[in-house]
Amino acid sequence: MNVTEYNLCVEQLSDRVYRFALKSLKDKDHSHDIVQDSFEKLWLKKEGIEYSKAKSYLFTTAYNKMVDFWRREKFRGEAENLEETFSYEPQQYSGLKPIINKALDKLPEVQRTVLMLRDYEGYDYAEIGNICDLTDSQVKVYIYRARLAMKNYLGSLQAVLG
Amino acid sequence: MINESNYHIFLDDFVAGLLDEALEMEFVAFLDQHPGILEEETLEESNEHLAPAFQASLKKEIPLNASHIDEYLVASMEGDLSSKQESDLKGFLEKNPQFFRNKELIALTKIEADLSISYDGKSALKKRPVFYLYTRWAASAAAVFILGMMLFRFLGNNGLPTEEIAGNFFPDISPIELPAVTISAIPKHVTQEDAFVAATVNSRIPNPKPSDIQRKHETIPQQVQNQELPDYTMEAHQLAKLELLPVAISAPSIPLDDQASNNTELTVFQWAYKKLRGKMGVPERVVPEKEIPQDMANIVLAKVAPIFQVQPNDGGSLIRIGGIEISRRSAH
Repeated sequence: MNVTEYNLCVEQLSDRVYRFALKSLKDKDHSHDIVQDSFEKLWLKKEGIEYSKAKSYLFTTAYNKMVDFWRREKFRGEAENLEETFSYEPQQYSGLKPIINKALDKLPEVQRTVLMLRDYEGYDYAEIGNICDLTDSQVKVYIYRARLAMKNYLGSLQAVLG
Repeated sequence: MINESNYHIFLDDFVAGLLDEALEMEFVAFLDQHPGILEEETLEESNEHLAPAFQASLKKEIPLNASHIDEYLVASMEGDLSSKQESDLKGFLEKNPQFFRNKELIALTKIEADLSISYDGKSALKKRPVFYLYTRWAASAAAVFILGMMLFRFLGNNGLPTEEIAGNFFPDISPIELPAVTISAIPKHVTQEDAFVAATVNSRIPNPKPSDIQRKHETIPQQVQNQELPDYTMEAHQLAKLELLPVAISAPSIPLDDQASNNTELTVFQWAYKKLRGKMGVPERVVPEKEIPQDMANIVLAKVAPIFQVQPNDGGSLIRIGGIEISRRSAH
């Protein structure tokens, strides 16, 4: 990958990686850092990475850094308090969107991650498996579980709200 | 670790849906790698008791009935069903319209990215293209010497011991008070045998002292000595643009490098400040130059000079200034 292609990656993919991290971590600063670190790593390895593989490389790097973040936060015992310290304030949505977002937030991290890669980025099971270091079947199971969990949550709300 | 000799221990719990999530995932992975085991264990008989979510991964066909309708609907949304299965599903829903609600709810689980969220640091992530300046090899080597001389002049070297020279690297003054080097001061001939080619500081030293700076000298080849040099005015100007050297531009006719003047990319100064933040234990982040505090700017400036490196390269030389590389190659 040459410098022009790298800069093209910045232009086309930095928003996507940022959204992916922000939606998972809900922390603007850390998401910012993850984007910067991912692109810095891509830059350092650019000689050995083809342009066509850059997106996958970036998401893999970002995901690994997100996993590190989750582990660190859990280790510090701060995971329970994250909701209060998150600096990310989602936009005000109308209608179902906030409920769907809440359903998404309730998923375990790995289910949320594979679902975002699936729906946001359109990756297939194998590609998601490469990024998250899972088998195709594991990815499929996680996606099925995630959708069923979200469906049940949305269904329960609908039942309550009538 | 689930393997062929112990998978029986987990099988019953897996079928009953009693394994915790990590073990379930491991078991699914194991089955993936050993597809024959499913047939051997005649799981068909006990499939009805499998945790529903695993049906999809274990069997190609999900039974189409009321208890598995959600998995079927998810499979439909994921594009995992054959056209016949899709047709069966359509027929099933027509006969059981109460499940249309399930379909609607599952359709809602297709999430969409919030496109209003964007990353605001793109310009800082972008990189400047590598500059290839094709000159003769000898001229390249001489350029190394010239740049070394410029640094020596900047440091005020008069044959002082290394530590004294290095001491000049860290003057506690603001950037605008640093002595300027005029472009006309660039020598036109190679006159010395010994050229200063690199100044580095071990990045693992948190607060480097002048004595931590390592210098490297190289002998200029005999054939290069006393050779008349090309005009390196532009290179000097480029260094000034990078804020590596405070160069007083004495020739107003020097054209500005459009790429450099228009660039919104990472400057050496920004790069160095980002690294300094890392050393201070705060997140490394690129910030606009004007937002760098003055006292930090002084430290940054003192640290930029040591990261200036010139290395001989195949058929030329490679100049590294922070994250920016200038490659010089001899023309053939």
